[in-house]
Amino acid sequence: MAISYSQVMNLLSSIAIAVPDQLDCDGCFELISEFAEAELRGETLSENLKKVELHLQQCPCCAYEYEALLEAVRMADMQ
Amino acid sequence: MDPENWLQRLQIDSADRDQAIEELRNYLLRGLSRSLKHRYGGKIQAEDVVQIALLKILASIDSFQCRSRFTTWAMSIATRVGISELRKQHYRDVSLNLSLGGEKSRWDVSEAISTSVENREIRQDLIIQLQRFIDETLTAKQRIAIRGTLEGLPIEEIAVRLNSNRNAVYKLVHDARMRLRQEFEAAGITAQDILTTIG
Repeated sequence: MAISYSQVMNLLSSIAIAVPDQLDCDGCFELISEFAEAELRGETLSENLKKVELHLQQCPCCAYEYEALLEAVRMADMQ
Repeated sequence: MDPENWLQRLQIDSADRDQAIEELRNYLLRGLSRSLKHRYGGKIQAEDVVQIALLKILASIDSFQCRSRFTTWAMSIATRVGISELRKQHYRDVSLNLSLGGEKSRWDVSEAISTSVENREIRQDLIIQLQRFIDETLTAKQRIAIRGTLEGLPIEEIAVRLNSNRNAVYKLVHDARMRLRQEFEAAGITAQDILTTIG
């Protein structure tokens, strides 16, 4: 598969924002429902949940699942 | 309904268990039928996802720590099941060049940089340095994983192709990014410089 210019720019961006991450994907998943509710209620994040935020900024895989989770919870609660 | 109530109703010996499972099934279905349909082409039946997810949820119910609503926790499991399946289908025919470990990075995107971009030469230099750092400082596995992310493969799918797991590949990619960032800094290029250059 050919590499596109925008993909290289994405890689450069991910390098620029890389900071030490205290969570892996499983650690993020353990806290994700609590994090989602904090965000839905507009609450200030605890130190523990800030780690989730940091992981989501650096892991597109988890960030995508989180986006889908938020949408699913909003839809399910709405009806 | 509070989390404890759900847990009580879902106990094996609860007279209300079937009803509770049905309510949970309907809740998950309401969410997933909307949230999955526009992701990775949405070629999946929400009912099938919910069926698999319910089994997982009931099997892992002891790990629920009541730190969120039960339904949100259950939805997080169901969402992961659904997205994983969609990814599997979407990337089924996409391979990852596992021989890249010993090769140089050969991608050339200089032609794609518009001549009208003000900092065209700086961008080109940045890309050339990036390729050099990848080739000279990353391990073979890190190079393969970075190549996978460059090609747009989710970490989960790179893990499948490397016979590894998602956590291990995330660490591989994250360590590689941190290493590349250090290399840029050692060359006098800060994170802010990179962000400013790429706009």
